[in-house]
Amino acid sequence: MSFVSLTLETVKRDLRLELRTREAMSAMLFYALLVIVIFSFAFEAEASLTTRVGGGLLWVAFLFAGMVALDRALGREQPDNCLAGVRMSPASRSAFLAGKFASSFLMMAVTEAILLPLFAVLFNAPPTAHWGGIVGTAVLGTWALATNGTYFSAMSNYARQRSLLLPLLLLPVSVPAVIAMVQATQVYLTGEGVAHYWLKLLFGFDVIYTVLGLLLADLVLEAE
Amino acid sequence: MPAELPGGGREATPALQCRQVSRFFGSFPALRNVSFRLERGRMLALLGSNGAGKSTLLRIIAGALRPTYGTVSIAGVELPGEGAKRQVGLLSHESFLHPALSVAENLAYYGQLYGIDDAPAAIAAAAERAGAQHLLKLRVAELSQGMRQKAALTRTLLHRPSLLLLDEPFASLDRASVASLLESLRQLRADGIALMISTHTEHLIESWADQFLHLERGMAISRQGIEGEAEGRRLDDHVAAAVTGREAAGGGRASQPALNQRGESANQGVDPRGVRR
Repeated sequence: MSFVSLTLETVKRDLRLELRTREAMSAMLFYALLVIVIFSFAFEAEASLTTRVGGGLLWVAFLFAGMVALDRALGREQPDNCLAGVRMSPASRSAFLAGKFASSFLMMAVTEAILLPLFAVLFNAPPTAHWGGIVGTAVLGTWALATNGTYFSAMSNYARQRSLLLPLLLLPVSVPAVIAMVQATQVYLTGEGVAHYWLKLLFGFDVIYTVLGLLLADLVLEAE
Repeated sequence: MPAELPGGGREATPALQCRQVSRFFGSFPALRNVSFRLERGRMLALLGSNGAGKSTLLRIIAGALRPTYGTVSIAGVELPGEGAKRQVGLLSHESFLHPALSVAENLAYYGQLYGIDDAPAAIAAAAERAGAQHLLKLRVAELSQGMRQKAALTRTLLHRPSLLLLDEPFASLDRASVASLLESLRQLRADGIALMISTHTEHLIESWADQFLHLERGMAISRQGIEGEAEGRRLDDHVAAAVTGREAAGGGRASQPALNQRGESANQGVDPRGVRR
């Protein structure tokens, strides 16, 4: 049993479950659309506004959507206590958690790919915006949220107030990443400033928390 | 002392050995100093009223819970070692199968979790042993209780464990399903798999269980047929004493000789914590 094959099987299983139940994606899209559409009503759509607050608006929508995906990452294992089945097996907890990281990332990425064009249209994004950079920032930012969020989802899985506990644990720890993703997105929207410092911070955050999450997988998945 | 295997061979390592296993939930003692061993190919009936600690003990042996104190060894390997987890399977109230997936899809994933190379062949073999071949393509959510039990038994047998734990396996099954499950269990025992069954319907298994372990309030109050752990009082006396508290007060009834599985009289006492005197 290799690390990679168990990780891939976990991703395949999660995506199959999502396709059958649609419990995460539909809620993610609904919340994110709600945020973007309501903000578009609140602010007049003009390029100057988008350049001022666009990065923050976009990440508010992505974060809302992400919370739903992350809540379901381990919550998906609750019917018939499937997580106990994993815990009783000799499988690598790190590989299992890596699969959960990856499936959360993919679900968040698909939602963001749908939201990003909608955001550009509704907020009249400037044609000079560097969309390649925005997509790259979204990838690194989503990676940060998926790794941390999945880990904390596992940590809060048996808590009664699981859905409330997850953002309380996740957001304070993710503040450096959130600042970096908002700032980098803002730079790419306005074309002013330097983004690569923020991207380096984001990449460093991703690597550190991914390694930590995998190293501590046993601890969090064996917690009772 | 080495135990006789059904095939006549001798095996020094028991299928299961629990030493002074205790488990606390906060300050509540769910299990206190439970010690016993189970040889390969034997069957142990785990008895006791609701809340006695039977499910907790089974979950500890299955590796789903960790004991607060004590150790559990499966086929000579101490939990939570990987080798120990490969040797044990738990059939519980929960199937550990995702309702939105088919039985085969669930089993394929368990095949990955247990690192089984030829998963399709292993699934087919386990399904045949559990009599669940016709269920493989069905989604778990579509299965009746009896069918779900068979699917869960298939999952439990997938990695060919040497120790099978069954927690109330006959609960909410109809007569036909009970008969079918009993037949599967008899066959598994004949194949040399050690069985440990927790049940309230002990009449279903008392005629073919080799050992009996009775828990009350987390303590092993009586053992029968457990080598070197024989008891000197009838189960009913222990239950009555534990429930009324007379044992703690020293007012229990006089010990009466009990007959174990082999019809032998055993007179060794067991204290309220389940520790041999």
